[in-house]
Amino acid sequence: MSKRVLIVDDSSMMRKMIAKLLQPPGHEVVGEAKNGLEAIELYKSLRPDIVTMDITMREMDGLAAAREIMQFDSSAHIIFLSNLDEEKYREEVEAIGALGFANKHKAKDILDLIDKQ
Amino acid sequence: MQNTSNQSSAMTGQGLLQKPETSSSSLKKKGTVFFCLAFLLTLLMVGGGLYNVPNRYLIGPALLMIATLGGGLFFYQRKIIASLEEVESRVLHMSGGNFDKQVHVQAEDEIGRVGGRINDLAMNMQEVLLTLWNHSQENNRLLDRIDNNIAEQQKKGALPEVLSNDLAELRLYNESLREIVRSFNYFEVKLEDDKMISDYDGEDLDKAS
Repeated sequence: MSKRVLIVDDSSMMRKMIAKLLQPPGHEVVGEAKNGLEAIELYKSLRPDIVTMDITMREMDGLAAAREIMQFDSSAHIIFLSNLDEEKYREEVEAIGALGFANKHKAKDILDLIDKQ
Repeated sequence: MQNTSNQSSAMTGQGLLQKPETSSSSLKKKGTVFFCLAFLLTLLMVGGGLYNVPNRYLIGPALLMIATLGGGLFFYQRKIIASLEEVESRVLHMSGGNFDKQVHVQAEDEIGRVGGRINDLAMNMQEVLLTLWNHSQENNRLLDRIDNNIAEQQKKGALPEVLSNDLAELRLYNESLREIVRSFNYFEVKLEDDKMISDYDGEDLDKAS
């Protein structure tokens, strides 16, 4: 089933790659944000089905942004995509109530997490 | 793209937030206004001099001319030069392989936008290098597994030694790629003991939060 996705990443190249990954399964990219502050603003206006969130970003990092979004909408579906070591952040990600954590370059894991919803 | 000058930021058709270019923030427009005003005042003063206009009528335009040139010089030094020096300093820092600091130019004019684009370029470069790092980690894991399998088979005399040599060479290439990645400094990310962790203000993200 096609999902409306908000992509949050400070790298324009990575946003493009994630958008490209989401195309073939038929998901719709409804917005792109380059930091946590923009992510919160766009989430409130777009209300996407899924948010893919980078962790390290300027202005506001992904974990802080995710907490704000979850406070605003406790049913928000957030997937953290990062190059960072998963073991280190898994507990924090789960505490926030996110859907999961995937390496940015493991396409199958990302799509599996999205399709889970 | 939709740009609304009444909002501090506006959504493009793709839902990407973008600060609109307002007429007051453009250096090009400010420069045009400045040079036109200076030109007109110069013409006025020269015309007044040529046609023997009484001095009392030229005092106003002269004062305006001084204010315009003074204001222009102040703006040039404090805004344009200061912004360019900040951009230059950060670009020099980045050209040495350091992505840990970004360009900080608050102005929403052409120089501010160049600074923003340089930050974007640096983030993309960081992303490429960290991707390289991740893939090289995976390569190492695969190489370890293959090495173990080869060792088992070689005990039985089933595989030629050249395979081990090839693998050793692959490992060296992989390691030299990792050395390239290690030689850079990253924005809020550090590479420690083969792990990639966040370095938010010098502390790990979980401590900072």
